[in-house]
Amino acid sequence: MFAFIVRRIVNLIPTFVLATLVAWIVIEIAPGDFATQFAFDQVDPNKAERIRSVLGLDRPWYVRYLFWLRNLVVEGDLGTSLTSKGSVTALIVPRMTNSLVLLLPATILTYLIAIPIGVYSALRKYSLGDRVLTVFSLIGLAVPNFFLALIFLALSVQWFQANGWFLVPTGGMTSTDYSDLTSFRQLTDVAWHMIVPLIVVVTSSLAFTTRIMRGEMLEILGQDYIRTARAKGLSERVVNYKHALRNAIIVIISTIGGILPGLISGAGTVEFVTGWPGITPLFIRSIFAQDVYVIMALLTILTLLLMIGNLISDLALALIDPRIRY
Amino acid sequence: MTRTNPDVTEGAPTRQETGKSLFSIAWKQFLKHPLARASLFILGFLYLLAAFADFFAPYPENFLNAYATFQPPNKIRYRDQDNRWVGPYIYQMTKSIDMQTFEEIWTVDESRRYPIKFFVRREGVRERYVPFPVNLIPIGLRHKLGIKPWATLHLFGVDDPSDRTKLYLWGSDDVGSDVFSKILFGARVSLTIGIVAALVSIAIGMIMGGIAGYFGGWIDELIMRFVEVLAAIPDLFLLIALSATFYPLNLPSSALFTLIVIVLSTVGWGGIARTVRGQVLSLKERDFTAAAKAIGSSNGRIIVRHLLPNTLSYVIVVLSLIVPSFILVESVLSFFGLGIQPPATSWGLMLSTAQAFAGVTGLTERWWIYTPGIFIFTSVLTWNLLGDGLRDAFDPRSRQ
Amino acid sequence: MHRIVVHLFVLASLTLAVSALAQSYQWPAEYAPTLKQGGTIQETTFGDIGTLNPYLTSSANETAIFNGVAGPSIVLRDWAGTRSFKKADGSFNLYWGKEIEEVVPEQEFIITVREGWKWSDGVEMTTDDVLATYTIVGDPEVESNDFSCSVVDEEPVEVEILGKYQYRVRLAKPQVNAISQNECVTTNGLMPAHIFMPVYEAQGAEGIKTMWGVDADPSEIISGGPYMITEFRPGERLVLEANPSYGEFVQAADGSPIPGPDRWVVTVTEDQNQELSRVVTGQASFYWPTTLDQVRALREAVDGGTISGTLNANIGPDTLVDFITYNFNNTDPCKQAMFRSPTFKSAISIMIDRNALVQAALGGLGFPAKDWNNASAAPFDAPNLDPFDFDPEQGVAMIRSLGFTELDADGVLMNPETGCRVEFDLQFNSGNERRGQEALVTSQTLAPYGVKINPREVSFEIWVNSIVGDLDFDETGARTVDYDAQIWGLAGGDVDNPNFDNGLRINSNLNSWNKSKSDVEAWEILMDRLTVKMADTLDLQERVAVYNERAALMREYLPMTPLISPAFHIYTDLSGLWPLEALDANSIESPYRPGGFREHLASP
Repeated sequence: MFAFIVRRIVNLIPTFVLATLVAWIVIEIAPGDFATQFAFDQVDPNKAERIRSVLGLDRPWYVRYLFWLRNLVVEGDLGTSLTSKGSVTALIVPRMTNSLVLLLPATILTYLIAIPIGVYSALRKYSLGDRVLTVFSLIGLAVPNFFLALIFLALSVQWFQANGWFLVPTGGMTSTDYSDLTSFRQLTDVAWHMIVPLIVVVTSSLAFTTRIMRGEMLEILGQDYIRTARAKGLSERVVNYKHALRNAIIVIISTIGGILPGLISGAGTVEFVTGWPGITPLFIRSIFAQDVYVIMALLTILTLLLMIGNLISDLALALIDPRIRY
Repeated sequence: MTRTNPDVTEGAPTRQETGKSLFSIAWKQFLKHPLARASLFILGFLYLLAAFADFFAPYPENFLNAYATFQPPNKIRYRDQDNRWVGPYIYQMTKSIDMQTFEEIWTVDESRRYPIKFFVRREGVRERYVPFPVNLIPIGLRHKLGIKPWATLHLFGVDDPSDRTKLYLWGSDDVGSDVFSKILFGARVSLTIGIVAALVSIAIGMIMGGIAGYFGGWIDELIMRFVEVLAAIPDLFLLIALSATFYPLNLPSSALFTLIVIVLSTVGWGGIARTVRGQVLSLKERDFTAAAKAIGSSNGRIIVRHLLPNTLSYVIVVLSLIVPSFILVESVLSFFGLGIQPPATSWGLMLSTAQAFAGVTGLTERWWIYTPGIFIFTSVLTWNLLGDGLRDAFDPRSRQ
Repeated sequence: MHRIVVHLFVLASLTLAVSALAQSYQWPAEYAPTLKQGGTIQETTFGDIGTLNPYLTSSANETAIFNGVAGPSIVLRDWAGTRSFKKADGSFNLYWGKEIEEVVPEQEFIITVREGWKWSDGVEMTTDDVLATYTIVGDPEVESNDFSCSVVDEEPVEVEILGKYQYRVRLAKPQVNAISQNECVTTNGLMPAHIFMPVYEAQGAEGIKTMWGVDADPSEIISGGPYMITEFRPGERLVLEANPSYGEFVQAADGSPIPGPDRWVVTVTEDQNQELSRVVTGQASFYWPTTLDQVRALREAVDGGTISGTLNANIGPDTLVDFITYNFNNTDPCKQAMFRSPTFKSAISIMIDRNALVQAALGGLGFPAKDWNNASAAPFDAPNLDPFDFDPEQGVAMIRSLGFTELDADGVLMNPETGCRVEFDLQFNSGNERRGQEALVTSQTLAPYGVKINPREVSFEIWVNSIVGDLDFDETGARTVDYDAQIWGLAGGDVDNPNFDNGLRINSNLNSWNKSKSDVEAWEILMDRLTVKMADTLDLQERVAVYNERAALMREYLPMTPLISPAFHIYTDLSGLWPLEALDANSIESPYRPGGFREHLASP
């Protein structure tokens, strides 16, 4: 077991280097660099060149990549943001936390809704209920998230203009008087702000999880041991819920490691439209500004989490499935 | 982020049943699935509209009218003031702005009726079009072969000799284009970009997965390591960063279409390769592979002729589930301004333009420009239901 | 009041500085920054705040916000009057400055500052702070946005400290409005030397760059302005609270406490719908709508009683003017000849229906332009020029006079001798709906007359490179982007000297029409000379005369074809803070900090 973990971690190193290198190249091949945005300056025509030389952007890309890698490995330093000039860690950690605050409940809620739907659909396959629930789970997926969020935003504004108070906030994560609230009120305040982004995220990811759950259930219901259980004369209820459901959930749990990076990699366009201060806006802005160190820091963290997640999945699988031995 | 690798049928058995072919059984099963059947019908209709967009649309793709921006849909009337049936007609609408409230006021000029005619011909240079399917042939080749089948026929159009009155069936947008026509032309991009990108992803995924699974060893290691690297980089980053790379090159729409396809398939092939590899690994232990080897077939031939076809059912299902996710991803790219560029159009571009320029207030006042949202919704929903139907049809355990 | 005195007493004894009686500044009566007392000012800003360091801001939004925190300036712009650093009688509008002696006109100054002004930690502001600011801003490694202000003709501005409250500034050469050079270094922030210099001496520029980042504890951030940062939530909001010591050295004309509102909350948004939603639901104290839709939404909310402020819509032109420039270096000889011909450009110019552009692109909320500056830049608004005519027939006649006498199969005018056609692309930056409309309407209006203009949306990079991109000196001799014609615009130059010498001089970086040093027309040389002359003319009236002369020349040869300006609108619920008569696009200043310019963001 221990040897397996060590081997996995050693195996991660080339993947990690390759992933960051690919990402670096993708950023580098884009025309222009960070300093390009300053070319259009009415008072200071030399600004772009000056910034380029101060930041060392005139050095070849591989030299900068190697410097970055060295700093990361030797000093654990993720670098300095070109845009804000401050530490990259200080910039991304609060925003990642904010994304996590939204996506952790969203993921849990998705599973809480999707698993029953998936189980029901598998047990009553081709029934009216199965079809209705399948279509239901697809509705949120089929509307682009940015548009769904806009609809909620418009509803919020309309409601306020009609009633003079907010049913759901127009956006953001906290109220302006947040720091003056008691900790319980702070919690409810964040929860209230989370309603709209949560609905958008959950509805858009429902179909995916439902489909996996339904597939897993069907797969297991067709297995020999279920047939054996039935043949033994166990009641349908016991077979379905004790044997089949438990095994299906185990499979789902074993994939949980894979969602780890997804929890902090941001909720995408919904963070823009609902004003949720997550990681996506920073990510997108950094890509457009070619602020390479911010992007690399994000990718580094996400890559590491993905690998840790996969490792956890493998270990979880080994723990729950007695056939797997490492 | 939409997930592009629905590995839902991972390990779906593909054993050949005796007697009937897998596909005829699947088809029978598929027909028992009412939602999937309805979806196939709706999608067929949408693709038909896209194919013959030039004929169904009253105006060409690059039609603009700066004097009628955000015009509400024309009301189609059938009876005159005396309630006599005169056939469909519209009145001209003109815009003015109330400088107190800043409302746009559209006045209907009832002095003259503009009848709507069916099967009209528009002979103008800019209104001629190349009919489907000839327009699929690249222009260069068409010129070389001397094929010039211009068509001028449109399903309907408003009859106005001065050509000043425009028929806006579903209103006009921020540049005065006809939303109805634009949706038909946008369907071409939105509905095909998903399929083309999915096919390319699947082709790459199958080849890479096939090679990795068949040869094993260091080739397998190399390919799978690369798949792992792609999986480690978030999809949204790859999408945006790659698009941002190509976007400043200021390419024509057709090249941009190709590039978006490349970007989407770069992101999409990894998961497919992994699954196909798994299937090939088990297939190559089977007897028929050994038999093919015994008669001296080349490796390439074995992969292409024997192993990959056996993963076909998986591929068909993945295709139908990947296409809708690519339709959505295309709209996300447009949201960030990195998708298709005007004068070409797509549903995603139309929707995100509407969101940018009419936004939260336009949702109630200019609802018609959000019509592309309904089309995205419908196509994504139906593609998914189609995929579900196909999966159940190919999966023996799910059969009714 | 008691609390503050005690507080100051403790700190004063700690720093061993004997606090002199503060020589305070009193707002003139026409400024009314104290109408609102108590409560909160709410504001939204587009895009995140990347640093809490007022001296390293990278965007105009941040500069505007941190204005309330940075140290004071020497002089202030009189936004209700001359809008200049000088009063009508020629004396300076002093703020922290007590006296300015102009040793050499517009070149060398001896500046005496007021005594007893304090940073929020109780340390007194002195010329040490001035020296520290010049030292740090003048170090290119620091990457301060104000670096270029510390240099004149590549010579650093000399600063000599004459005493605790007196210093001398000397520029390499006289310059129009030279005090603004000094201001530029200090306006965005006089730095607290006692905080910054130890770091700078120990760690150099790197140390300064890591100071007061987004993870800094707000209580560490020393304020020299009306507000102090008390809370920062990344991507969400910045909360500022009144700086109690500010009221000791700045007083309102009527003696009421200053600053009035206790809190100032700046909310970050990343999406314009998000921003508008906040404004129409009463979550913003001021907002500058830019489109008809935004104006209408605000009008509706105000009329419906949802929000309590006032919307002043359509109050004169914004500082922005959109115009067309043509590429004189186009590789197509037909096009190059057309674009260099003043007759051709004049013809196109009078064929453009500017009123239709205002209607289509701005929903009627705008003004036809006649020069690259408009009324908001008065007196530099070329009163000697008439508005452009709209006379397409005359325009066609002019084009025909250039030899384009026949119509080809597509109905485009062509020259039967050369085979050249009157057809060109007109590009605009992607996402700019206003310019897109301008291009579309222009194209539609001119099409029936045989002038074919193809509107073309291009990415920001292409658009920028069309303006600043140099000539390639390879065999083609083309520019970085070999474009035909492009719509761009300029917003708000220097109020005292809208000279634009890096745009109108030969081969300057924002000269978008001709990047060649040698292949220039005679009028371009004349324009170059007038531009130099304008920079050297220190007297305002004479400078206006030079400007008008140059404007007449530009009207004749049209290096830029002016199109339209959007109208300026402002919504605010801080009633009376900005007197209506003083409101125009150039006068939006912070109501609580003299000279603190709150830039509204018209894109270039």
